[in-house]
Amino acid sequence: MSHPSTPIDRVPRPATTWRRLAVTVLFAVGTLVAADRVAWWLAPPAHLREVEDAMRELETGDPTVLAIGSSHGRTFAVIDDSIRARSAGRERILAVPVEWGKLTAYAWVLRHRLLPVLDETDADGRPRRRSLRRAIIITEWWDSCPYGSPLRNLPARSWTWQHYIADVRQHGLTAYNNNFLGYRWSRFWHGSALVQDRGQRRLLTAVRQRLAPASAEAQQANFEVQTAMWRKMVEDGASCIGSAPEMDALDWMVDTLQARGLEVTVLLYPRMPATLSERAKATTLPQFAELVRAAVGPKGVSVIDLTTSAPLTDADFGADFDHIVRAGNARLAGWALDGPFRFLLESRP
Amino acid sequence: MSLTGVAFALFLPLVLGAYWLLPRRAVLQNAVLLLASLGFYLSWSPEWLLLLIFGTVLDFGLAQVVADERRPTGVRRLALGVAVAANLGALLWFKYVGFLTDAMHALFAAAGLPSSATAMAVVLPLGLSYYTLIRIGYLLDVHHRRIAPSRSLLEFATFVMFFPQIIAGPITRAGRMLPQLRDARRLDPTRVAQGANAFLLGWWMKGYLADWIAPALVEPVFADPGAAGAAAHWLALGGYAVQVFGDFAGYSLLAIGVAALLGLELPVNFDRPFLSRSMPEFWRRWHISLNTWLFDYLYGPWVTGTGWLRGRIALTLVLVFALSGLWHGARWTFVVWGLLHGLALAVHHGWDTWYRARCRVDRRWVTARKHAAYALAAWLLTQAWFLGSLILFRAEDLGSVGRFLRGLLGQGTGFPAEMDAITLVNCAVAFGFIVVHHLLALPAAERVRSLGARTPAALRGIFYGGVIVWLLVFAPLGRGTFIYAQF
Repeated sequence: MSHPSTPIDRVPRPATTWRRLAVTVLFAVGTLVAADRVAWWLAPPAHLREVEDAMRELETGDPTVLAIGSSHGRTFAVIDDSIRARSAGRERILAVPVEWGKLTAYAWVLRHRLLPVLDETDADGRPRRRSLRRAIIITEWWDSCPYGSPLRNLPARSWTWQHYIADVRQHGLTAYNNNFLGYRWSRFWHGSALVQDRGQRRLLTAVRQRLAPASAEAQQANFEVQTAMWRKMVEDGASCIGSAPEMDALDWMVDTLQARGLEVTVLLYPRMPATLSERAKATTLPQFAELVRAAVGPKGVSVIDLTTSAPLTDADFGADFDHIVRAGNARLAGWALDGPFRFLLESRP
Repeated sequence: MSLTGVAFALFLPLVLGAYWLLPRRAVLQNAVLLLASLGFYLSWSPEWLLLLIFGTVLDFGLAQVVADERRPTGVRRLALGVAVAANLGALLWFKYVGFLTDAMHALFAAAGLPSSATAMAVVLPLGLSYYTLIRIGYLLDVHHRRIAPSRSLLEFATFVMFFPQIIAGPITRAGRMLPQLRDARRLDPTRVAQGANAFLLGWWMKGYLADWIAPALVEPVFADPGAAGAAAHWLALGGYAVQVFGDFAGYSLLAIGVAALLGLELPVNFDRPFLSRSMPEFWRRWHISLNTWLFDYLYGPWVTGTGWLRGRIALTLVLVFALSGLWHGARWTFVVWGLLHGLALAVHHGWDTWYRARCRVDRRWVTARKHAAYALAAWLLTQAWFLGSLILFRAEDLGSVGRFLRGLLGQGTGFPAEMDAITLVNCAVAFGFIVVHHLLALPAAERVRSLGARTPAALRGIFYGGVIVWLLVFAPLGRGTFIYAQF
């Protein structure tokens, strides 16, 4: 046996030239760009509000209300539009959505991203942002369950380069901190529908929808499978809610916000009606609401429970059965500002 | 930092930029490569960087003694012994101490004797199995005067720590690499094209093929052997063959591609192994760099040397392959896996000797061997043996092997998970690619190959662009680990 002299895995080809190589690259790039345009036409990537967008707004603005939560926090970007219109810009909500977050993740964002900016002072030692009076913590039962492994979206969506470098210096390059790079890489290619679709499968769904749209029966069958899965998940939630680190994070957030003179409200976010079984309505959901009330009630924090009481139908929720669609959010915003969140338009505390 | 990860996508252009933009001098190019390699290793295994550096410096120094003919033979042999023992000692300690203490404990327990041996959990430094063989190969080559020792520590360290190969090979030879590192490298369009081509093919095989097949067909069945039906088990086994080939051949191609972009040539590690019609042929096509290493430094010297193994071909084959199994991992499943392959090679050797003797007396035996039926039977037997041995390669313990075998015979029922149309299409593409990839190497595909080689640059660009689009759409996210990096 000896080393083969010909690299068999590399198909032997005649010598190439720089010109030939340039033509190959040019056509490869052209193919990529063309395919990307088609992908854009089939499934245009949606820009979703992230922690970074909120930070940019905070650095240049002076909000009156801080609303922090998971991806559900994006609802408050819609409520912000409504409240600005109704109050002629007097009230301004800063919505901070921490994608796939939990209470510990919101606490991290509050501690490491928001507070350093909120606590900035001017040359006279007075706070730069003086309008902030209220804070809303948006949560649901899932936020209080342990995740079981580090939340990969925390580095991805919430870290800055400084956090990344500090973590690499401490732990080396790890799968956890690599989430930061992966997300930055994806954001760098924000103009590419193909890159933005990685891991989303929106493009494939769109292609399938065009080639062979799902029949009404198939849609109904899918609806049933999805609702059954969600119902079970919410029911099972009864066994994991109230994990100590998550509840401690809630406690810390309330204390921290109140220490800065803010009126704090906890919102239990609305759920899609079909995903809630009677059993979940009798166990997970009331038990979680009770846990939250017991934790924050004694601190004078009001809890608004919209889990089942918001005037939303199944049609107001997206294909993931979790997030409210644009029209649903607009309807929810109007209803909330006339009802449970009316106080945001009233005299400040 | 995985070769298919984002960090590497940022790292590689930086290295290439520094490497090619600096004045074209070997010492500068090697310095860039060494710095890059240290950074790369640091990103994986910072706690073991000193071990790597210490061993490299020690081997460099001792190799000078081994090669110095002014010194007495005893001193030179002692230097060689110390160097080899240090390398093997590190490998034994880090890779096998837990396994050996476990085995000792079990032995004592079986004999009814009290044992104070407790299992030791020692973390395996990344790449240790590979760079140990690279360094021992170098020391033996110097000792046997096959090569002159490297006179530059920079050059030698660059060879040992070269980042594309350090975590999972190919296991390079000093005789091949050091001369390349001695001269300044030139940016050559043909080599760049070959490098990019190998890198893309490697990405396709690892980032798409292996990473699709594993969660769809393999992992659910091996997670609970025997539970699913026979079809699921057979698919899982076939899928695992595709996965392990895609994973490792893909990694080798990524390494070969990166090296080519740096103007260096690494040895080929896989050569269409699923075309093999005998086990010796299989091992000449699968993990070539390891098997040539075993052949050149263990099998050859043992069989042709003056020791007890001289001329005992079958026994040496079994022994070498048992060691190969042990090299793959400190588990009994790997040892049995190696023994099975050693046994297969020994049986083949016996068969071949017997058959050749028949051929000498009757030419009809020669004709029979050239017959398609013989070729088909040989191919089926070879592939079935390899496929069957993969159960041992993948299983956690010998008990799981038994359960998996019962699963193959239809003890369980159904599939562990329902597969959607996209998964089915991608699994079919994965299997289809393996078939086409192998068929293209057959003499009958010569016309297709030459057509491919003569494809106009524009068409070639469109093809590559299409492959990248396919990868963007279908290659799964976040599975950057390589099976062979664990060995």
